[in-house]
Amino acid sequence: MRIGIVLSSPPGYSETFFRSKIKGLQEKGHQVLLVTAATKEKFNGCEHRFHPTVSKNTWVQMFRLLWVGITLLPFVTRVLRYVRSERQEGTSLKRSIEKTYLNATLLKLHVDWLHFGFATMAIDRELVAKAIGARMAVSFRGFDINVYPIKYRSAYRDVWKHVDKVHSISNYLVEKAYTLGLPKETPYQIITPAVALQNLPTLQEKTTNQTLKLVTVARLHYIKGIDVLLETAALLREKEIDFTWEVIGEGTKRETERYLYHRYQLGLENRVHFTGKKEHREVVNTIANSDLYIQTSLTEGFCNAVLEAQACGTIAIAYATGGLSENIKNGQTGFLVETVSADALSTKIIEVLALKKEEKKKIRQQAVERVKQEFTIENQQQEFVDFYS
Amino acid sequence: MRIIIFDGSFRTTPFINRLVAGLAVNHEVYILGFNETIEKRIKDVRYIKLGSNQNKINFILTTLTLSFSKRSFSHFLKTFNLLFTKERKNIQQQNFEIAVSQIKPDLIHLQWPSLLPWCEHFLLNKKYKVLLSQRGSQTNITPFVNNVYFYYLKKWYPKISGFHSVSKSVLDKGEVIWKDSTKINEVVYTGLPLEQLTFKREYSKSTPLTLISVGRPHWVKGYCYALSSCKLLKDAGINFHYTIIGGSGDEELIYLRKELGLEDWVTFNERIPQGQVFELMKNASLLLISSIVEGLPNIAVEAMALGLPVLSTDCGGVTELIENHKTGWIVPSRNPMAMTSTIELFNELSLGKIQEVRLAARRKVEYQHADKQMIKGMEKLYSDCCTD
Repeated sequence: MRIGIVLSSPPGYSETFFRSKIKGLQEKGHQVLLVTAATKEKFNGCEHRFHPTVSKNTWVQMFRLLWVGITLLPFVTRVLRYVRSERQEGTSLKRSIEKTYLNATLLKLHVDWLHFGFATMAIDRELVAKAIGARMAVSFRGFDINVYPIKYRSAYRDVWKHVDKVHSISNYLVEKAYTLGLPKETPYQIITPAVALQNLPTLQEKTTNQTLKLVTVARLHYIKGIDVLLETAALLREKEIDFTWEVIGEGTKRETERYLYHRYQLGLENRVHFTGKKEHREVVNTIANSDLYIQTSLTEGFCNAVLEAQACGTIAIAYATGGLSENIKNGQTGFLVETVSADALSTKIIEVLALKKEEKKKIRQQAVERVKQEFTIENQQQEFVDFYS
Repeated sequence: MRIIIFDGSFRTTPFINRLVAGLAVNHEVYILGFNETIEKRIKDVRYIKLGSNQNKINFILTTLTLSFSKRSFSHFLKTFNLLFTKERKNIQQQNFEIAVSQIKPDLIHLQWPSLLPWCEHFLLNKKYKVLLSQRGSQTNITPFVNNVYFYYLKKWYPKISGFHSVSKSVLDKGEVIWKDSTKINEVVYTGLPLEQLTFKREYSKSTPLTLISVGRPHWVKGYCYALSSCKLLKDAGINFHYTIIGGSGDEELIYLRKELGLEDWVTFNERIPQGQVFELMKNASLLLISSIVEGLPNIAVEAMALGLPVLSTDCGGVTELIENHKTGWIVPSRNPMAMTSTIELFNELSLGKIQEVRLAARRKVEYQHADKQMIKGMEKLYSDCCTD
């Protein structure tokens, strides 16, 4: 089978999700092809093509349009079919021509499946799969379903109409997509993120750090609940807990200022450390060396970092929001907090700290075991093979 | 007195415009700006162009004219050279310095701390007195989240002749940066055209209770806490509607409104002209200010002048304006519970008590925020700086 995967940029070295997916499909004899926006780096895991670029200079753009037009000549029936279907959907002729240009690379593909790696990637490309005689698949990530439709409510109207199969990283996102108009009869498959166990530091017997070490991996963005994180830190200090809390991730200038100022107001400069973006290896090392992993997100699609914390044997605590309730088995592989509040979270942290050594050990072991059983790259690869069959 | 007002552009903010118009009656006032055209010229004020980024030819002409006025051939050649190297920032700096040297002002009034780099040369050779206005996030926030900026200000503050702050709370922030017993350091409250803000004699609480906030959706406004407060109000069974004027299109606010189940209770409006804002304010029951940090919000002064009761967080200079239960209501910032209980309390108040607060509020702003006191205060500050 030939599968075309559409992403915004080629997967980076540490992005195991797409890399292992592609590898897994190839090992089963499928041919995979990647299409992204024009980037400097070329992906070496499979054939990699680029979407045409758009120039601000009218003359340069006219020339490109002409050139792309010529290269589309051998595919004239597909192009006509595509334009006709766009016109039937009410797209103006001018916009149909623009879309033909933007989708030119996809219109030339010979594939059985056209898989958009993020739902947002499928917007304005909804009719391409049918025009090239392929089936259309779309993956749901947290941002696609939780955040993007907040401002663009009907962004997926046409995606829902034409998608043949949905891949979601959690049940929660499918349920949420139903509320956004996804028809209940659309076939879907849940394939959660997986952990490449060989990339993790070797598991060691946990010794509690003298000063309690907490860690969170989160962009500095409101959806990650950084305000409530800081308020929780203030409560822990009030309860005289000796701790430091590292927050790994970056944000826009405005958001960074927001949280730095909140930290300044609370006088938490010596407790909470915003350490910016880090290499994946460094992130997992920090998680493995921490006493607790805390996720304060207001919602999540699934959350890789929480899964990695469990794989590292670091006890994870998160709010029971979005896909997190599927990620952590409350009381077995970590802990979920029902209400999004600093009070509830700080109370839970203190409760977990007070657990007996053996109880903590048991949670850690169960978490590691579950990841080893259910969230392996091999499982994920097999699930993707099944997805297309 | 000969005064340069410098805020980087000709399009100064309304309150700077009012200051300038008042000063121009008794003083020689110049506005320097990186613009080529002036939209609203204030009477008796001289505008000096420093070259804008918008138009290359005008930029070159302005630069050459300023350089020519130096009557030095070598300077003219140097300017040509600069124009060829296209070092725009350096050329603008040169234009600024030539313009100032020609005016020979008694004082340069810098409107924002971010403009300090333009004056470094004059601060070093102490040729002119420089007064700095402390206001906005450049004084309230950035120094406390950015060490490099904090130490930059700390280095240059001792070389500045005097400081103006828009509230006591801003003055205190300035003291954290640099403190000295001989420092000329005054609060001059912003003056507003109170004669144009007619006090509404009749007031009644509407049903549902109409709560409004005014201002862009920025985290400093603390709207996320106002929404949490609305959730508590809803749960308490209070019949209300909350509108944020200028709050539309913000993802976080839309998300929170949905998550908190407030879609029928909260509206986000587009930005609208001030006249329309005042009309909406006249028909509202209570103004909510949920801010985390402010200098002294003009909207509070305007509401009090118009006769709209104000409930505000204790952010920045608000406590210098509002006395709790007397001229309005004050709650701690980032505290939805306190805000909710105060709204509930307000909802129970008699119209007589509210009328008392409204009248006291109007008296307070007339005393503290009249145009005249601002002009007088600034004139005194200027003369203090110049006689120092």
